[in-house]
Amino acid sequence: MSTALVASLRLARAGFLLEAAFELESRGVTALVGPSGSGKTSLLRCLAGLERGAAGSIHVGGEPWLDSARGIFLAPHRRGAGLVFQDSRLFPHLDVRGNLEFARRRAPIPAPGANLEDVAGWLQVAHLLERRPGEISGGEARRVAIARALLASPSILLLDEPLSGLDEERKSEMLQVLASLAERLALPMVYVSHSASEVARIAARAIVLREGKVQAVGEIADLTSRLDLPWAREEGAAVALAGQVVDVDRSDGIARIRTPAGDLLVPAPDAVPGRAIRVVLSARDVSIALEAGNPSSILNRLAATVLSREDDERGRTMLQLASGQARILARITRRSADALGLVAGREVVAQVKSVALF
Amino acid sequence: MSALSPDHQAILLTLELAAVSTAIVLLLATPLAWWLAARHERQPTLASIVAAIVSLPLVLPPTVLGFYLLLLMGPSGAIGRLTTSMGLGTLAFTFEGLVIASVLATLPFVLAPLQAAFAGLGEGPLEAAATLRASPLDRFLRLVVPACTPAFIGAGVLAFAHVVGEFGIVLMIGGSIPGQTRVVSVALYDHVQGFEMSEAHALAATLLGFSAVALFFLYRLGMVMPYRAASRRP
Amino acid sequence: MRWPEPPTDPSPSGRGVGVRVLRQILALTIAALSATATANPPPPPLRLAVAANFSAPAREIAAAFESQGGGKVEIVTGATGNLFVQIVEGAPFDVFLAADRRAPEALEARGLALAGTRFTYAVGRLVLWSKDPDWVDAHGEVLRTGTFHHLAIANPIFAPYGRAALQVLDSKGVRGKLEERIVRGESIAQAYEFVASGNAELGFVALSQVWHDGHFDPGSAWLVPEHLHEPIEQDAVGVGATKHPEAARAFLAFLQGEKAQAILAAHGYRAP
Repeated sequence: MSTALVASLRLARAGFLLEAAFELESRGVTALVGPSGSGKTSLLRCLAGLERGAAGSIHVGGEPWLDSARGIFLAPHRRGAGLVFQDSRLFPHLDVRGNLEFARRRAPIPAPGANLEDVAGWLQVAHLLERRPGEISGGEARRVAIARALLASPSILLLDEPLSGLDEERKSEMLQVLASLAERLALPMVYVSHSASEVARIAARAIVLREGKVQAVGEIADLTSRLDLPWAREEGAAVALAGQVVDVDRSDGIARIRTPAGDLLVPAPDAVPGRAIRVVLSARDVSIALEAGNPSSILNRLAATVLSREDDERGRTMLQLASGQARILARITRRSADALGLVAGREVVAQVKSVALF
Repeated sequence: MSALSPDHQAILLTLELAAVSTAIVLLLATPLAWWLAARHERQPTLASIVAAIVSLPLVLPPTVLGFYLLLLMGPSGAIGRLTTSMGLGTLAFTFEGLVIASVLATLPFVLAPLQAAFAGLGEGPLEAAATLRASPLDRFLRLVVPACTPAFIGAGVLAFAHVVGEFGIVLMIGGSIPGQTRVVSVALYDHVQGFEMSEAHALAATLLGFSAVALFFLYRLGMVMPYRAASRRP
Repeated sequence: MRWPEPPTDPSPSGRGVGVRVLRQILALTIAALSATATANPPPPPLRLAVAANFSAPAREIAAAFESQGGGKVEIVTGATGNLFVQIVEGAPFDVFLAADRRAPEALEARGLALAGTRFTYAVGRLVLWSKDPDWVDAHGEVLRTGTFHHLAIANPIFAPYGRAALQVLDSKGVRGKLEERIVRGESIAQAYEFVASGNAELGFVALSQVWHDGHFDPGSAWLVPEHLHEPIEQDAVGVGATKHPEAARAFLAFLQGEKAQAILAAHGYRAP
């Protein structure tokens, strides 16, 4: 996979300094996570060219968008970075179709097979084309904004908290739509969120920002299993693993998924053998035993080694475990952790009750 | 021209003056209102100074304004010196002089609604349009103007009406030249001063009737337009 | 908490003395006003409606009238046409000094004038004047030969000075040639303003406007011979609805007297 964007940015504002250097690959979703105020939106705006005070360099497909050393600053309308704003920003005087047309008319070369109706279909807004921006819900407006950004044939797609303000059900829907888009398009996508667990579902790589500086960059599987990053602290802490369906037992619908952490048996009668699949393993679904002894309902028992352990103030302990070629997380009570004598180096059996497949 | 009665001539002249002045004042006020809307927060002092200077005609009585314009346009005044050095003579008693005076007098009326409309639109949609590859001119013509059309119409109507009704300034610098500067308001005044009451009534009635009809249609257009926007070219 | 006692006897502190003095002044004023109220009320002032171009001499004549014991006079100036309309609509004027004959004649014709009081109180003189000393020659030949851009006159529709100006142009045979260069002021005052500001190189103004202290103001002038135009007669008349007909007649009589005539002449008018 080639590198589509290389950036080294510096943006100074009153009381805030953003300094980040990173690369984006030509396909797939790169998540940009961090607490509020860490500079995520500012970074997106710098990429789009909306921050005149940005310094450093941005090269997209070899073309310089920003190069302070050579005095180059490409105006936003020359970059065509598809930025989907958190507040959607649909044009009030045009209906939905008009908004989409606005983008399409200005696209340099429309991507083949991506006309207005198609894109509206992908984002499930085809039935809203005649409505006005004031007549649709926030979630619908968000989807229209994404469709609009896509119709402009952008070289990168930047999504600023696309799930904010949506209820759980809509969030799920939206994540599905975005994931299928990521698969369908040969487009680097940057997905900003302050919820780390959200991005575990969809991102391949991530950049972690903290107070304007890059704290970590890497593959999602690596980052999600680190104890020092935001993921591990959330209630929904989970590790994302790249898996592949090996086979599906037709008699009871149990699929064997091969992941770097080991093989997992998951009820998934519709799984397609050979298909790549994302496996999200929540820390709360992993329990620890000292040996694989008594029969139990839990199908998956992985041999693992404790790498490190972190106790919180609520009587709980988060364990980082090495399993197979990967790392996973387990959250148990401190009492149990102490009772079992779980310290770094201890060999245990990780029992995975359930996983989510995407 | 002599086929028209003096009063008809005055009406046509007034309409011409109002149309030309309105077009010019809208052209001038738009970038200025844009600048003011953009700078208002970041440079409130500078923006306020500019706004205050431009709005002076609002607080000065028209005859005072006209009087000072007369002095400024004369050969020893700042404007007069400029125009004579450019070989244009002096501006008093000319249609062009009236246009300039009308533009100055109506600028503050046009500035306020436009500035409010631009500020109301805000930076948001403009930034979005920029990311959709719309150049600054494109953004202005295809986003700002359509989104703020009611404000443009309102400001234009206000300016037009103001110029049609302008009397004090024209009185001071016009010279009442038929076909050049004898506009309806002055013609009316002349009729009254000369005790020609029936002519005065006829002229006033024509002016009132025309204005009412024109205003009606313009406002109706302004009200209907936003709803027609859906079918317009984006 | 107890409020401090107010001072019962005058203390040298500034505040206390000030208030006491104010109260004394107030008491004295009230006493004086009530005293005058019980005496004879002074007669109300005589109200004059005066054409704007005559306001300066009118004020001097009024002052002279007052100092001779004629009673207080109040002056309101304006355009003759406007004043006429106001009087017709019942404005409380006692005497009308117009800039022409037409308005007072019209009042008489409508039965709104005080009987037998209309007369010509002044005759204006026309002057072709320029602020620039080189424009106007002593015989007005500049009208035939001059290359000026604008010639200012008062609007001939209703201003006698304007009508007279056109008559002069006719008599010189240059009306057609100069038609395009004529600019009309709404009053003789405005015509003067056009010339004084330099926007019109020259114009027909009233002698009273450019004649001060016995000579012309700086510039160039041609005092137009009276035979070239109709006399610019300014009539005065008493207003029929006046509440003080005797005072009105007294003032009008004074207007014809020697003192008033002297003031007129000094301002560039002549007796009829």
